Amino acid sequence: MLILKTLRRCGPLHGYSIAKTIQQASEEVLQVEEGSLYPALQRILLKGWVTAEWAQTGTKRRLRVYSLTPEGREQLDQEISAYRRVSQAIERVIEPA
Amino acid sequence: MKWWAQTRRRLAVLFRRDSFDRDLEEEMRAHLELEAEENRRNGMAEGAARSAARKQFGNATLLRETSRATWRWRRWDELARDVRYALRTLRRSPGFAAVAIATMALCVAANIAVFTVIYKVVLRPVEYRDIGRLMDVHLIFTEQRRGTIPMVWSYPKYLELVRFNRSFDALAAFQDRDVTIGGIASPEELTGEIVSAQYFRMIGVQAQLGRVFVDEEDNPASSPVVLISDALWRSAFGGDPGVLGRAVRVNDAPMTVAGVMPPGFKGESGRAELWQPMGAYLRENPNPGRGGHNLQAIGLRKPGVSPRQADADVRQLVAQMERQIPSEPGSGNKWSGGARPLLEARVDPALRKSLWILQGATLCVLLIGCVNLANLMLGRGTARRRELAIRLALGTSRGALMRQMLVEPVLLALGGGAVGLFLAGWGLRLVASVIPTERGSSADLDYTRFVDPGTFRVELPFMILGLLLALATGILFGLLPAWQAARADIGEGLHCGTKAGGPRNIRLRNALVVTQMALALVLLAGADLMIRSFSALLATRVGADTRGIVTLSVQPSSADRVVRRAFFLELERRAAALPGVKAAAIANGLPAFGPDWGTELHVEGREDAVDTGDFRVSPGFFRLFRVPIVAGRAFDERDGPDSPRVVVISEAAARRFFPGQNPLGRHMEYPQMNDYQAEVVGVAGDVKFGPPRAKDRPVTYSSVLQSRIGGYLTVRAAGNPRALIGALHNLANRLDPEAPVYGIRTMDEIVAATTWRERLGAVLLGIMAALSLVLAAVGIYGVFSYAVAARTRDFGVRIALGATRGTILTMVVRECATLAGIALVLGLPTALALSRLLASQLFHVSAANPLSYATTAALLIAVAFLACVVPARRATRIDPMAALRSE
Repeated sequence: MLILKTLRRCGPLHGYSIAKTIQQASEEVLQVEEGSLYPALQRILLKGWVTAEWAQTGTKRRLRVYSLTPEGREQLDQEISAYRRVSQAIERVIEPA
Repeated sequence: MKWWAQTRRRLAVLFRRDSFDRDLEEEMRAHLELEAEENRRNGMAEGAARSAARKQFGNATLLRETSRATWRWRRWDELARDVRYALRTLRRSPGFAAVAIATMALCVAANIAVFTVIYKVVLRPVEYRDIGRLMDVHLIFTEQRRGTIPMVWSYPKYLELVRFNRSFDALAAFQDRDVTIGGIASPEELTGEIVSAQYFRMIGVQAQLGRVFVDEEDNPASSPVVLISDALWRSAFGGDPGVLGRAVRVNDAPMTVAGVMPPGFKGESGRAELWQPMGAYLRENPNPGRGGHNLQAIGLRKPGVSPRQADADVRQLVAQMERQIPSEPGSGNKWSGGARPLLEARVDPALRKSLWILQGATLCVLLIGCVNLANLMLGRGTARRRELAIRLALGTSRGALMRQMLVEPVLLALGGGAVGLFLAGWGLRLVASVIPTERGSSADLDYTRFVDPGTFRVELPFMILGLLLALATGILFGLLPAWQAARADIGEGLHCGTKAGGPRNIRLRNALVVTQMALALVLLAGADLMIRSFSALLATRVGADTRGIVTLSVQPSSADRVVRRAFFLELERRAAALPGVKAAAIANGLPAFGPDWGTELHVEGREDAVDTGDFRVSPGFFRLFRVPIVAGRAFDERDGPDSPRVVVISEAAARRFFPGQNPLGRHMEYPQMNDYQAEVVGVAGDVKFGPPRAKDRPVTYSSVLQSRIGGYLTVRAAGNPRALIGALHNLANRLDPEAPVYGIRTMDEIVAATTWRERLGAVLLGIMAALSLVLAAVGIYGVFSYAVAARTRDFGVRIALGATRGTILTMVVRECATLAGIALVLGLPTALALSRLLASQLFHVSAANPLSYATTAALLIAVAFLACVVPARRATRIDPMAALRSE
């Protein structure tokens, strides 16, 4: 969900920037091994929510850029609304009465 | 859809695995480099920057693996691994694999082959649309003396049936008869059907070229047309599509070809080559009488009417007809009617029964095979107990273990099934070769004409059935050890190692082997009875030497008696003069073949008539068939048309007509032949004019010189009789180019054809019994090998304590003998009880024939002994020291 959201907010990105963006956006709260991003990327590639393309950057390096597909957008909407429902529910439960 | 898109992406990766790996690698490296650059920019040293980046990234190798795993076909990968593993273990025990596959293959082959035959012969002998609704509609004639026989309809009665019945949507009448077709390259004598226009509509058969009959053609005033079979179209017209509209002559009447029927279609008679419409019947019989019963009828039952209701309806209708216009007033003979499903009417009840018996036998073979497989699998499970326990201990899930244990039997089943289907095809060819293509004797024509061995092939539905059968057996018997394995107690498994599975296991296996032997015994007993019965059939005395003889039928084109006589006499004379021919004769009947019917003959001064076979043969007949003249003389050329009538009678006839008297010089009366009397001049040995099962009849012979002439030309060859066929055909064609020549066969072929059903039964049941015996032997061998291996230590101790090898051998063999004994006690009564099913199929053999059971029991004991003696000898060679130390 985080990856999809990042791609929607910032447009096509490569793996490193996705990791950095998520870290910054969450204000370093979500500190995970950056590498675990890649298995996750493979999973959503397989699901068809993102596509990947090789792009040449200015610094003679080839980078793989991921962009969201229409299916990915749809999935993200679904996941966000599902997440909201759950978090609201949790909110209500832990709210002091 | 989603699933498909994913699969497509997966496949894309699968086929470009290398580039996928490179991409991933490069991507991760780039990530690390970017991270390191960032760190350097934040003021870290080169090395520290790199290692910090790596730390931040995590375990790159593991992540790569996980990434890759996303794209994998996880279940398939695991399955493929299990399959590879199973193949590897099977390759390591080729004996086990071979026995299992062979067992499975034999079981599948036997079942599929027999079931295909049953399907083609019993369940679907004809492929008509609505076959389930088609019925054979008939009259039933009860004559006081002869009993009840089904009869066909006369035209007026048929019309009433069509008008007044309430059970059928449609009815069709037909008749089959031999016709001569002329106006083609070489005229032929063949079976033609006259059918009403409804006929083709009802059975749902269309012409492949041209059209079938229309309703107007049921009218005698319509222009005469004819339909021809595919075979006739190809042989007589070379498959010319321009055949439509061609003029031919059928029984010398001009006709136009209106259509060609599809390949394989032979009509309801099962042998028709030519069809004429009902109009032809009415042209030949302008005023058909009520008593002229010569039309068969089939009906298409209305939906919602049961066969029983239709039967009752026809019976009622005929009763009504008889009340209005009695068929035979005051004769005491009764007429009734009925209907039965066409499928039932077209299958020989005896053949159906013997085929179902055979299917039962085949299922027995399957059962025996299954017992073998169960035994094999159990043994294998036990042998691998330790390995499995270790793997369980190392953390394999029980489910995974069970799946893996199942992969092996499934592979074996599929392999066995495939080999089995191949064998089934081969077996069907064997069966087809036993069924003669030209089945002749009048006795079995009615039913077996529908059996077409050309259709005996393993068709796709049967292939699937066969593989499913194999799979089901494989899984069923794979489950047993798999379940055992999954349930296994790790500690115990590790502990006891490869030692035997304990006494319970042995008892189970002993019970299985006893079952197997008992089943094999039942099959063997059945096969023994069938084979004895068949050899009794073959040993039936024909009373004539039928070897080295070829026979043919010919119909001279002229109906004139004088011309016909001259034709046949000339044919006989020239045939006898052909090189390679020892003798020739003309006769209207053939030994061992028939026609199998009798005439009621009288003898002077006695009232009672005797059912006698009355044949007209030329003087050379007795010499040609080597029929001995036991008294008096055979007739010869001097007994011509102008000399006194003479007759030669068989010994049975002499006993029957003139008991205790000298028949020579007495007279026989022929009421059908203008009441003439003939003097008995000779007595010949008994000859059976019919298949072995046919009734024995006294026989009388008249000379063709003094009565009608015609029928078969028979020729005794000096060498191979088949070599003469071409010359004889040419000879007949030279004498009368318009005369159709047909039925050219050797007497050996005819004799074989009269016993084909019995031969089929004996061959197939024999094969099944042999299979069961082999399988049982394998089973006994397997169980005893296992038992001996399991008791290695026991035997070792005994040998160490001074038991001689003889004692050990006796011990094992005695155990086997006990099992065989139990099997005999169980199997013999079962066999005896089941043999009653066979009783009706047996010829001159009692179903309770003690010799059969004794032979069978002896054979089984011998096989059991042979199968256990090998493992028993292995037991005697056990080295006590090695056996004791190994524990």
